[in-house]
Amino acid sequence: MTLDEAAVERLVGDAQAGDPRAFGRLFDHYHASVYRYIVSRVHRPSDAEDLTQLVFVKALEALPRYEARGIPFGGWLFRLARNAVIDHVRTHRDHVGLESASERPGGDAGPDEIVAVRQAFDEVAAALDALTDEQREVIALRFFAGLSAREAAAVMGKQEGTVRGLQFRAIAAMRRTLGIEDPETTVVERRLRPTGEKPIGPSGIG
Amino acid sequence: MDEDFVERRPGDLEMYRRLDACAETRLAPDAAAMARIRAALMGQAVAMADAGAATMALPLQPATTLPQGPFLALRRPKVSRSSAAFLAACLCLGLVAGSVAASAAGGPFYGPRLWLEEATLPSAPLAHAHGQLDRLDARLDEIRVATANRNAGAVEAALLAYAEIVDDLEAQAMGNPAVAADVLDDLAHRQMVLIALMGKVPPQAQDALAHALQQGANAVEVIAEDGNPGDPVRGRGGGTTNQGDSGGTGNNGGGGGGGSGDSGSGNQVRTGTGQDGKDKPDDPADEPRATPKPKPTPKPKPTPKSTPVETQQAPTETPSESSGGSRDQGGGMSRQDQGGDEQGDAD
Repeated sequence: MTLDEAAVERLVGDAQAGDPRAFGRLFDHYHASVYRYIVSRVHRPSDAEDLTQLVFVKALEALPRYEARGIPFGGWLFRLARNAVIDHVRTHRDHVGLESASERPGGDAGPDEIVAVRQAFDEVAAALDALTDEQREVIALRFFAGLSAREAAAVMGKQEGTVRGLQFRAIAAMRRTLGIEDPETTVVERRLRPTGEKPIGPSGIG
Repeated sequence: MDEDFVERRPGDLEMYRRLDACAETRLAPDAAAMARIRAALMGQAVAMADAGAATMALPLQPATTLPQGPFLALRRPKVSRSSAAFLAACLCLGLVAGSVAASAAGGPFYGPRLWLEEATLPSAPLAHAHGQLDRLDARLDEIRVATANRNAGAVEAALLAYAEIVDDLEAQAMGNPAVAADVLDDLAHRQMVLIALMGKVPPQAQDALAHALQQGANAVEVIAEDGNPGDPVRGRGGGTTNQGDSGGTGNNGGGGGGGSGDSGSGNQVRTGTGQDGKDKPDDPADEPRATPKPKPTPKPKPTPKSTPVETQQAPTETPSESSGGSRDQGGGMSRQDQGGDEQGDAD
């Protein structure tokens, strides 16, 4: 479900006026990215589902007080998610690796494909574990939640350039961990998501 | 923000692809779980919308339907304000009543009250004396009230205050004949009122009453002496003869007597006439006659270096030596009065 920023603001206004359907459409638009961000941070799908519900409940309760003061609704929502994650991590000390998040079967893929995907994911999870906490946060917001650098900066309370720097160093570290070499050392300018697959991130959430 | 241009190397693209793949294939939410969450959220949203509508409708309800408790709670500040004002008024009233009670005769503030009364009296002698007379009336009233209440302490306190006021009046009248003449009758009248209270005041206050009466009697006597020296009660009638002799000079004679009371010469002459005991000329033969002019006094030889005292003494001695009858006494008196006046002035 794709909505532009103006449509999101209209839905927010309707939800504030007491329209439950508008809030339902906002949930439909944001729930997947919120869940991905949360599960990439807490690693356990069941906890991520509970926290996702908690984030939307808080959003529903706080929506009458929400004012778009330079922060779009998406940024405000992910701030709630980030705070929920921080509280959860603070109260749940048991460490679970990101590979736990892939316990779910991978749809209708064949056994070989499932094994290959699972192996690739475990490698990425291991590379993420080697990052600093801020670098992991940036990766989660930028690639799993699909936020833009500006939105991620707003959620983390940092400058946009700082977020870009964290992302650059995180990618470089993961490449070193995964052994991904540069075929050539040229600087190219292209889209952030070159694949034509299902878009996520800023273009995906408006 | 659809496009995000960053400086990157080709190897980064492979990294992005892997991360995107992870997000899409391994971090995707469970559809059934999200459906449950959505259903729960929608139920809560509907409930909140209903509650919000009910809240919006609440203020439209008339105030009469509100329960008594919240209504009183809303008005509590107003009630508190009026209660505070009432309390303050009660406190002020209590303070005033307490002060009045404490400043009554015998109370702890009675002394300060008397001091305040005295401090606020006018400074002009006559007005001051009248103010003190008013204070005496107030004390008499207090004595009457306290006597009726059988409050011996209050009677005693008022009597002592009375005596002090009488003392002050006496001091005021001593040097001021006008004040003395003005207050004498009033003071005597109040003394009679005080005498009438004898036997009525409580036994514990009898001593204070006796003291006040004694103080008043002394004051009347002293003021009478000071303002009217010819009072026969005291047997000093020097001024009376002077009044008979020269009419208008009687006061001068009295004043001279007063002024010369300490001097020997003036007192001797007045005592001689006063011993006759004649306030008024009973005998027509004693009626005053025109005083003949004294013989011209021979001028003394001019003494270039004579003192003024010697110059004054020379003419006064001359008539005394030549006078023999009552008429001469008058003449002599007038001269001696002059000398007495001078002495009095000198005093």
